[in-house]
Amino acid sequence: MNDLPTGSPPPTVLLPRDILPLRRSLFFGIFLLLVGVGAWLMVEALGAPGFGVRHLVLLWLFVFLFSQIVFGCCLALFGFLEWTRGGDPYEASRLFVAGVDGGEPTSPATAIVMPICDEPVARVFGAIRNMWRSLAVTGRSGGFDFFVLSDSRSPAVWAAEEQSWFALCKEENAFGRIFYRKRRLSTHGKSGNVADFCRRWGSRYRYMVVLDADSVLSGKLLTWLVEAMEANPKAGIIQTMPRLVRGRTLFRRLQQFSASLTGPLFAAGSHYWHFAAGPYWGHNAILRLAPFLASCALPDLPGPGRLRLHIMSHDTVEAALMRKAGYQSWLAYAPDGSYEEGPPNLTESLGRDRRWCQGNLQHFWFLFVPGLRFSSRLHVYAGLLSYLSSPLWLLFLGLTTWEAYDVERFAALGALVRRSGSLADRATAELLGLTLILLFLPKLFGLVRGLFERRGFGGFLRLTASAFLELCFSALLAPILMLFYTRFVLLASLGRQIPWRIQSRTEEGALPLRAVLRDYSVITLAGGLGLGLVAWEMPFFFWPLFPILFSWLCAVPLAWLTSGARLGDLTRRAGLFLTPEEEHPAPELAGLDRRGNEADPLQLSQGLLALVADPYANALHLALLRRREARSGRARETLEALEARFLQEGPGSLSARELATVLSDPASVRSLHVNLWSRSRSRLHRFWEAAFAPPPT
Amino acid sequence: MDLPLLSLNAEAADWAKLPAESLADWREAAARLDAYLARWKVADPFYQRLIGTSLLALAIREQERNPGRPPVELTLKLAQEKVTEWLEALPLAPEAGSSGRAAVAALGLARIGGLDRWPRAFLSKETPPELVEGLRESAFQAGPALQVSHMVSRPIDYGPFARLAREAWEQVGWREVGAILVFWIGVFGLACAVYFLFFLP
Repeated sequence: MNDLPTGSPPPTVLLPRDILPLRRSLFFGIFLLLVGVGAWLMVEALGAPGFGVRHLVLLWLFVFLFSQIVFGCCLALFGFLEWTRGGDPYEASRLFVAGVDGGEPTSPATAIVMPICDEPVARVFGAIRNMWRSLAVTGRSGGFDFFVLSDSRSPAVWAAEEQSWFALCKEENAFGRIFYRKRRLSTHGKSGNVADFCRRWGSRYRYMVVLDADSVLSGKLLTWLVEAMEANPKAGIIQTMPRLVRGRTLFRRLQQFSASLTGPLFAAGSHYWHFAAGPYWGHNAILRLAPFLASCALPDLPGPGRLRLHIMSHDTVEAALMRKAGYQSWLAYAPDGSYEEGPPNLTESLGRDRRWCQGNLQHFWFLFVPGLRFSSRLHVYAGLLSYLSSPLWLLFLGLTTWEAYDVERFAALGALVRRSGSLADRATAELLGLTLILLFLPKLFGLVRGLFERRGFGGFLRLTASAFLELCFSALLAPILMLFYTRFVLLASLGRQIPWRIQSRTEEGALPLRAVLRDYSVITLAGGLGLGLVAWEMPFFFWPLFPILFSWLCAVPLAWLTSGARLGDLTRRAGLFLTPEEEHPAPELAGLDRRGNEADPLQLSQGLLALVADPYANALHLALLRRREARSGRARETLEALEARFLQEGPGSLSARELATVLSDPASVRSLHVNLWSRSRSRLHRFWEAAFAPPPT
Repeated sequence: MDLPLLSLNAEAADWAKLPAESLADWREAAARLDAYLARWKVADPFYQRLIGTSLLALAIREQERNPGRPPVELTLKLAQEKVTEWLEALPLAPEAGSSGRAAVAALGLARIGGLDRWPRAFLSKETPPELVEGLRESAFQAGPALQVSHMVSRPIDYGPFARLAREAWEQVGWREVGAILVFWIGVFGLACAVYFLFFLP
């Protein structure tokens, strides 16, 4: 199936030759102009000439950090300009229309892979079911196969996944089309899981659609992605723009509102200058498998011993390697039908950020890899900067406070005469104004765009109120994130390993107050102390520092209040933070919220109980374990002891690892089934009582 | 059904002869057997009861030969043996192979709803042709056939910084790092001393 030879040059060139240089010149010209203006104003504000070391450091930091603000604003500006003229004619969904034959009932062999690891089982298989049905509606589902690739560590989740997979295949008559695989050794996280799939089955397929555990793609979009790849043999990756959906907690609703309002503008602005050198986010994207297999196996990072790490954040590197191999990477931001869910609260969001931070910092090495495209280096650089900028902002904040303190002290001593309206003061005011404009302009563009689609956002008043509240939330959140990101950068730089923590997607109940206090009280305390100290010691610099210190003070209430579904539901009823996806949910998202409390261990353990007690579930597990060599001697004795403990003292008596060992051994699985049924009740833990009750019909 | 139902009916009448102290155990065995058979979801409850009665009678007979074995263990092991034998004898798709035949057969039944549609085939030697056909067509497949690809990460040149770093890691040990630190602390200390001794106003 995978019939494109990796060595042959892709035949078609779709892009006009001069449009990209023109766009890049315009984009980076305005970018450099704005950075130049900012730098010049900063020089004025610092009172040049007569620069000391501190001033030089301040100026360097400012240019570095200001360029990030300008870059973001330029993305939104160019995205907004594209929107005003009705969209980019070179956007992937417009570009790849010609030459597409939509009449074929069977698409080229395409694997839709969903790597999962201890995820809510009903949500995972609900999404697969919806995509399967959505594909069936298109009438062109022929070439698509689904793969659920599990790395789950919890035996209860493992059991539930198997049973849900079988039930889904039976319900949809999809045996031989929807597959399930549990890896025996979960190495290298998600990228290792996908690579394992590629090695086993990759050459059977021409394309691979990569999903996250919370991803959903519509059938229409899936078939379009394949058609677009067919229409452009140079395309190695087409990344879709996932809309955040199904948020209930206030945190998630705010995030999805913000993403819905401004996300398309940033994406359009990003596409404006990178064209076929777009980003890859590791999910909700289609990849051409032949070059992926040939060129995108992740190398190890340089370093001795333990420092020779595996790449944690694989997507940017894979896109860079794909580009290096001569293939394009497109961002198709306009088509609907691509969805994902965000983290439910600030703590979960930070957990994810910590992983991303280490992953992005690892990409440092790729800045200097010979042969990489300029755009790939830029993506790596932008990723690095998104976290590295936090400690630099903190340093900048410290230095400006020091500077202000010195200026005021000297003024008080009469060493420096400060006159209101001096060049430095005027430059400072202009710089502050420019920075604020650059910061808020993307939000304003988003609001204007939203107003033209206001019905989807709840109408004029609600949209405006929501945008204002979201702005306040972002302003409060940013300084808190700065502190956390600084910590993450420092920990990663010191070589502290980050354990792969499973992201919780549950939205039931707010975060426990004790946990919030543990995680955020130091920041709140720092904010309170800082405000007191500045008010007492530096009243002249109180208001410039107030937004930052106040947001630190608010860390505990902000994290706690936004983590619960109650406030989220309340704002939903009030018509705040509505999004078009929320107002008119896609059919592919139907039923995904009916998942119950899957974090409940009792509910989870039902899958485990069925695995041992139910002959069909037991047979399914045995069949999925496939042939494994029989254990003998001491290994067998150990397993028998574990089996006996499992039955006599219940699942709680075994660690997850012990339980996984038992459940990985076919003889033990069979023996557990036989012994559960033939033991007297007195020799069984009460957990197994439910096995002897009439089974659910 | 290959269980000796008719001859056992007479034996069933003799159950009352079981010792009174073992009756509670036999009741537990009967309840457990009912629960076990219910897990197979045989669509005909009457037939399921007949199967249960027969298995129980066999177990009682078996206990006369092995009086030491607890009724629950005896009955359920016997039932499971009979079920496994029956499953292994079911015709399957050729690719099913011989290992784990019983499990694959059980999955085949689950997949086509075998005991829903042909409940009286359960533990019977006679398998309806439609069931045979269904089982043969429903080969269990957790994944498509393997087609192994060579996807191996190749070493990548990370450029001058990585080379410098590698050289430092490979060539400089902790002793060298310590010596360098001591040297620079010394230089800095000397400079400070000179400044404080001779140049401090």
